[in-house]
Amino acid sequence: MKKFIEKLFIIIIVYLATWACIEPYELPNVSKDFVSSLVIEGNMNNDDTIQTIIVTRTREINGENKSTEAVSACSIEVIDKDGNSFIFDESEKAGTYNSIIPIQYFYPGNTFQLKLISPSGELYESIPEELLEVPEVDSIYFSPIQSGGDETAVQFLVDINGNESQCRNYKWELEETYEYRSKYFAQKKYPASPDATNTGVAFIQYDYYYIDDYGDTIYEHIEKELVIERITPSDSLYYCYKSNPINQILIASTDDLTENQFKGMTLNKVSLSSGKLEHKYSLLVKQFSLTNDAARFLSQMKSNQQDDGMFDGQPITVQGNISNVNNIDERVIGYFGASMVSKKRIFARRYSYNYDPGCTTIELGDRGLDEYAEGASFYNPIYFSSYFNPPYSWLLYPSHCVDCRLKGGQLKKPPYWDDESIIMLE
Amino acid sequence: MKNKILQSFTLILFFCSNIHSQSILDSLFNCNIKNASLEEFVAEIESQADVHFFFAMHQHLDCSISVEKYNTPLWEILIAALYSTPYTYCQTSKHNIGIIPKKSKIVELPQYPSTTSKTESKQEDEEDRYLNGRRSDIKETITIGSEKSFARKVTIKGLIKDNETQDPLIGATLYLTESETGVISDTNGNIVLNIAPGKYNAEIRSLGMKTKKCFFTINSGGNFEVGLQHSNQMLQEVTISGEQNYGNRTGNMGEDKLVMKKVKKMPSLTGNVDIVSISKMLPGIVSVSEGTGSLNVRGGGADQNIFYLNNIPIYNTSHAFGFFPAINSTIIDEFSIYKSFIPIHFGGRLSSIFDISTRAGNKKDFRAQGSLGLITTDFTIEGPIVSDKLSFIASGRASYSDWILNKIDEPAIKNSDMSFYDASALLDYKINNNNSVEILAYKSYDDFKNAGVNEYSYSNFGIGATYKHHFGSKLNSELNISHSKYGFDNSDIQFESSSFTQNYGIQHSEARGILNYLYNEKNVFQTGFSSTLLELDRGNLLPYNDKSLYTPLKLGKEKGMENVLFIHDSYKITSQFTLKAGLRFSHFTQFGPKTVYKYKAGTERLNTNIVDSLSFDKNDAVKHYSGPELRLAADYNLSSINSIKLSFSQMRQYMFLLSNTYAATPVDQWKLADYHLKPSKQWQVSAGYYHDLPSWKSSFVIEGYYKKANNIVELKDGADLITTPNLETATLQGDQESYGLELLISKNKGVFTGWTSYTYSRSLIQVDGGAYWNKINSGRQYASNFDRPHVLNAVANLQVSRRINLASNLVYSTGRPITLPMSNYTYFNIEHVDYSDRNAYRVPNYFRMDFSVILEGNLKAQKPLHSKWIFSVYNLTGRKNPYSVYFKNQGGKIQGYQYSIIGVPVFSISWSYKFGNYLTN
Repeated sequence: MKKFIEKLFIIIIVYLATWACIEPYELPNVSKDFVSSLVIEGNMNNDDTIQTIIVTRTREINGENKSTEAVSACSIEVIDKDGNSFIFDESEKAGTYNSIIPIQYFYPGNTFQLKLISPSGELYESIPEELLEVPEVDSIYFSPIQSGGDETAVQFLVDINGNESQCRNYKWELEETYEYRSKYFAQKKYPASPDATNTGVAFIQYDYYYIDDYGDTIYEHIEKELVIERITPSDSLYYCYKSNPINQILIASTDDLTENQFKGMTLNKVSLSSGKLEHKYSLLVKQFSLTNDAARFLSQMKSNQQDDGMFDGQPITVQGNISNVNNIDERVIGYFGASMVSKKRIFARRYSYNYDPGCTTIELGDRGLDEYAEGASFYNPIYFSSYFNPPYSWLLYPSHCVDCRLKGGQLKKPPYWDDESIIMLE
Repeated sequence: MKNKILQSFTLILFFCSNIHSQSILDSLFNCNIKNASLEEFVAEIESQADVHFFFAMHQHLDCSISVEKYNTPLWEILIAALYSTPYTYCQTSKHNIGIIPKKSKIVELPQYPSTTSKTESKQEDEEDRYLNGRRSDIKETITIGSEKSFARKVTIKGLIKDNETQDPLIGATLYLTESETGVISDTNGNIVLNIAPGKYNAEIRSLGMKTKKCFFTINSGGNFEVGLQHSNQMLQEVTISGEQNYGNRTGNMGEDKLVMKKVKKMPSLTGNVDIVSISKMLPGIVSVSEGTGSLNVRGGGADQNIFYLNNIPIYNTSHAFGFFPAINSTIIDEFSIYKSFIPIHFGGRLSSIFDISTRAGNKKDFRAQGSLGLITTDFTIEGPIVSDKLSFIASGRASYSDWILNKIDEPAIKNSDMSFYDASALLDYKINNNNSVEILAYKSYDDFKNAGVNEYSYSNFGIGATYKHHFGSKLNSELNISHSKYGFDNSDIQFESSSFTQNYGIQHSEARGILNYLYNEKNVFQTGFSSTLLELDRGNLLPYNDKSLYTPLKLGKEKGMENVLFIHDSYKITSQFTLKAGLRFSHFTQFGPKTVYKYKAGTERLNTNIVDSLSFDKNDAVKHYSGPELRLAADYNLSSINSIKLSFSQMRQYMFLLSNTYAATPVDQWKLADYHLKPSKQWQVSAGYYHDLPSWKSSFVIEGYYKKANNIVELKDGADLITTPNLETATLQGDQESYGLELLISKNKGVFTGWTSYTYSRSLIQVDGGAYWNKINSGRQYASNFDRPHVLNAVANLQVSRRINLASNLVYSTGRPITLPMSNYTYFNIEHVDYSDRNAYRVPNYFRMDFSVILEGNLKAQKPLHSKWIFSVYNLTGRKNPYSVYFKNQGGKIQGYQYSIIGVPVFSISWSYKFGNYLTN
């Protein structure tokens, strides 16, 4: 509803765009009203064998405490419909509790219930949450998004194709992985790494003029031999792979629809300028079943995440399914969920003629490679191509032009990367 | 000078009494009163013989009459009685005597030039001046007799009549400047004058008519006829004092009356005169934000007001969600806002009644006017169908905003549409003096297409008739019948699979009969009934097209009827003290067909907790609610310039607007009271002190109120209105408390006019239904979305010259309450915020200044087209008044952003024109 009205208002906003404006707003000091509440996050699912429950507390907004305040030393157990109990133990990471629930307990119709005793001895319980059957992930595809006549991004979409016995509320979790490349092969490097085995010598000679203190022009001819490292193969720093979880609340419901089907649920949007689609992009889509209550909780949470417009609603005090057994008025944030999961991976590729990874080469003229390397640590080590024009000119690359790892990826190719059975969208 | 005044005075008296030499004025009366009001004096005389006095209601304020005479001719008593007052008398027919201001006869007549100069005399009132300025460059010449007579004096006979009704005017005066002679018309409107032939400047005046100036060319004896136009001051009607003012607080407690031709000079956002935004300049009326069509009156919700356009309820009074008014101002005559002592024939809303009256079309001439603005254009035409009997007025407005959108080179915008129009037509039929009928039809329509996201349209339609009948002079009646429909169509087309379309409609059919009985001068009874049928169709949610999988969902219909009987008496106990008491009894029934669900006792009303259902057939009564509403008021006049008023009002409301947004929107749905939702009830006490400052041409008002409502409806957090069939699962009921103090100083006359008001008020809501699911804000009281404790408004208008008018508005108010993020936490690897108590904080204070200039065209009388330019700047200082505040997580820090709907000065320009040159509304 809120979203709908917001959309509705877009047209007015656009129309009256010059009238409206957005400015930073200084949040007043709210510390006098701050009360820290318990936050419990946990969703039992058959995607992982290890189940995780995270217990934290809310922290004052923009207060001293910047990082998540973990709550250690809770005793946690999860009980299924038949009374099987699974004890969760705190992991190395404070406030994160793990347990293994064997796969056979994940069947539609089973329920899981959380019981948690806090360090202060308060007992918190969730309402038992039912596992619902989830359909297989249906078609995943993308549609181009244009802006000002140019294609600027692609929108990934998923269809739902379920039957009557399956869940009607869905949540998706996404993980993207993409291959990206350096702009240039790195063939030579100076100075050579100390342990480098494949080294060579570059012969450098150049002429050098300068005017001395007496106003006379001095002429020098310099000849040098520098030890450089040969990088083989030359594309060893060229291909990288990077994975990111996409932290978005993606939910949909077919509850209002005649069939358990939905065409074109929007997933993530990838801009072409990010370069992620340039070579190979992979999207892992995990589809979770949700109960009606879980879907309501998530939609409230999502609604609070959205930017406000003129017809914005009241912020929602999200209501989960966990409460303090002895003090029902205590605010506890969180929904203890249980889901069946199906998943699917796709590949995608979309060339962009405008994409430029951003790299400026430097043509080194009449100065020495060595001098340059010493003077500008920014370019240290210096990579350069086999293309050069000795003795007078070198084409140098800043390291981010050749070493793809500097952008956060890793060189190791994911095992599924060349799996030809995975659909490639182009 | 003084001599002249007295001369004129006696002259008039002479003619008055002389013409009717055997009239009632010569009858003998007894009179012994001390310090009486005019009314008491008149009542005393009227009790002795068949004689009736007429005077404007406001006059009695200024009189204190002491007379002791026995067996004395009436004229002598009148002279004695009125000697110390600013009034004189004039016999208008055999048994009728008018009490009229001396000023109009005495003070001004001698100011007229004694030569045949064409210069206009300066008049104080700007409205008159505007009128005269464009009329009298060329005076009409009345020529009597064809050949030049050489007689020393000739006799001319004239008939002075009302131009509109063609009735003869009794007691009209003709004054010839050069001869300094005057004459008064008799009961047949005739005048007879003996005068030397020649050319004269003449001036013809009559009570309630516009003064006419003309030349007389008298060649020989003969006859002539002169017609006079009605002026705005109709004596014998009670609205006199409001006419020259912007607003008038001298009527009922908490009543504001605005006259359109005055307020239309105020600056506006889009160059359109908008009664909704003008109302916000009055004390006690605020809104959540600019750009919303909803108002909050004395701490009440947007659904606690009703707008009647000539008794037709209009459910949405704005276009484009609130940026443009939906009623063309050219058809509005005036509008009254009742917010504490609400007239007994009105009800059904807790906070206020907006009573907008249109004007009737001109009964003599065809007229047309219109305007062109940046976004809209409007046009109005009026004229007689049967001269002097039946007239019409029709007006329309349309936007041409689509082409602007289409100009923008962005597919999403280019393919979007926004357009709206409104139209109205009124027939006014004066059958005879005792019967009149008025029929109004109104329609407005808004259409939006937001390419690929949604489509939306909403419309009002209303038609209504009013029949007025007089049963003699003491009893009169009024019957209104109206039918109004508001509806919207709404399509969400963002996702093909779930795209749906919805149509929603509410129909309001109302009949109201009022009988007024003037028992005597002191005691006026009113009784009547009203009957309202409400038919609400929440519509069907249907798949948008054949690709949509949306399950058709019938949200159901609701039907309810509100029947009301009322009785009211206004009793003037003494000249100073008036008591008004009224009782309304309303009965509401919800009718089937309906399936009512019952929920497990002690659980939240949720679909999962349904344990039973009751089925009702068509027109079966599902639920009855009824109750009395008491309305009491006491007015005490401390003196002629100040008074105290007290009132107590009870109100009941059987329908609610459900909205989960800060400001009401056109997609909000009305809901009738039903099996689960009880009607809202409210009582309000208010007290006020009213003080006129005649020497400053100003008045001062202070009013305070306290009111308490229960069973107001609030939505649960995050409730989805569109897809919830059983709305009781989405709503809670609570209490509303509001109180405030309103101060208003207004200057109503002169070159500089305007008002300043300051209001301190609070509006608080509490929803505490026991169990946690029946609470909002944990059951604690919270400020409503429109709780603005301090509000300062100023409206100023400066008539620089006949052709230039400057106006400015100034608004300062406390920022609106908001709910702020209090804490943050991580969930799904996303930073979330958890919120404070509802509305515990406020956005920064609001300040705005507007400015407008009106440039009139030249003032020539004879021209085909008169036009004026209106330039206005809204939010002159460009202050970025925050409407809402929202938050984004930026690198672990929650950064707030404030969103201003109008954060720059908005300039608008419009050009108004009319064919011919005459005074328009």
